[in-house]
Amino acid sequence: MTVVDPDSIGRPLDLPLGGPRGGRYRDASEESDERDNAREETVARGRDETEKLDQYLLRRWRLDGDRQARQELIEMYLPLVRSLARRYASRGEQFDDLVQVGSIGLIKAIDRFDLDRGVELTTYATPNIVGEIKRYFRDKGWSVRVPRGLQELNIRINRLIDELVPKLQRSPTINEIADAAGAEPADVLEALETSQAYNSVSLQSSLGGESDEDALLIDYLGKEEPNYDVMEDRAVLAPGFAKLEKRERTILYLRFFEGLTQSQIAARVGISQMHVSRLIRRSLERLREEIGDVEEPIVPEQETDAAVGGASEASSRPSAGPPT
Amino acid sequence: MTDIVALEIPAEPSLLRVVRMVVGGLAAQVDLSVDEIDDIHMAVEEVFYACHPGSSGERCRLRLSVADDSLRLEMGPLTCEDVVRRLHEPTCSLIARVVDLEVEEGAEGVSVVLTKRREVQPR
Repeated sequence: MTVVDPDSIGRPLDLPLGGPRGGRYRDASEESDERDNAREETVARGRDETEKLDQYLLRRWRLDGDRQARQELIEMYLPLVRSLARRYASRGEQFDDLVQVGSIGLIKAIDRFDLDRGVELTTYATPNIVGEIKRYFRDKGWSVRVPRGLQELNIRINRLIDELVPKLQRSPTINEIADAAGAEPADVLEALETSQAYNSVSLQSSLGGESDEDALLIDYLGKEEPNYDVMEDRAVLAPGFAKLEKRERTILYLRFFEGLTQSQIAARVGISQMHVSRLIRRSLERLREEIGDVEEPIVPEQETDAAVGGASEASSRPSAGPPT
Repeated sequence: MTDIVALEIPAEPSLLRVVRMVVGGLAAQVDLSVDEIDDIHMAVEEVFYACHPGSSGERCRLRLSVADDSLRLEMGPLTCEDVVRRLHEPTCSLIARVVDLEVEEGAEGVSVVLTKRREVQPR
């Protein structure tokens, strides 16, 4: 049960509403009908009406403390949040996380909106939502505090690498990136190093859990490979790979068995080279942790002085099918 | 051109950043690409974790040399036992597919040698 302004009854879209003046108690269905009517009319009348509905709901919330009106406003503007979050979704953070963060910006905007300003809620909410998403990237995305200048250079370099790879048809060198960025090679190196401080592995992150039809990467290592003891690796790698997410397995497969560069993987998977780098590191880290307790592999004695792997093997990588 | 850089740090993972910076600086001299630099970075880290398991008070010695088209990094002499077995751990096995990884026995002990060659000639 909520106190409503009696002046608003029957004309929800034409309301310079004030506070409750002798309002009466109404039941929920009446209010619901009123809102439904308002919504239907809004659809019919277009943008101007939306604005009026905004104003109506905002007044209900700000002046009457009607939390239902606040909730409706939030729901109305969630598509805007999703749209803005989508712009930032390719930067290594989960889309859903960005929507959540953006929603906080939206709620703040709704709560702080000044009815007397004469601006639309969209106009006020957009910078709030974007600001909240950017703040998330700046503060939450970096597990170690990195100077702003380096963070920005890192982001710029990330974009430049994505531009340079198709242009050069290969991964760029530090000097090439420095030229393109108008920065010193040492600054580029330092900025690249800051990406190590970004997006550390969460202990809460999922360990996979895909359905049975998701085959393990290890399932595709079956071909005979000269100079490489596939069977041994299969036995040792399988438990670890089982703990990885499908995308991580795919990326490890592409990098270490298909021989694709990080840039090529980035293009194929649709993420940035730096993100590929982070995922490989995270996967290796997880493998290292997960397989720590695995029984020690048997290594022939004569290998003491021999190469363990190396480029010669990398050039004759197994031609296995991709993980599905 | 051949330059040699020697580096010795406490075998603490937090100091790997220092190693990465030095490796990155030298790799840039060889004109390795960012992908190739990342390969050698990851290789150093994995070999470090394999050869310095939970070490306390241990030192990690590195010797880096730059050639025209490659960067060579020697880690050692190592005090841990079973270096070869450790290098057969899964992550090192994967890394060995993109970076040359060898074990050398010297007078002072065993060292691991990582070599990353430039694959594409820059402009």
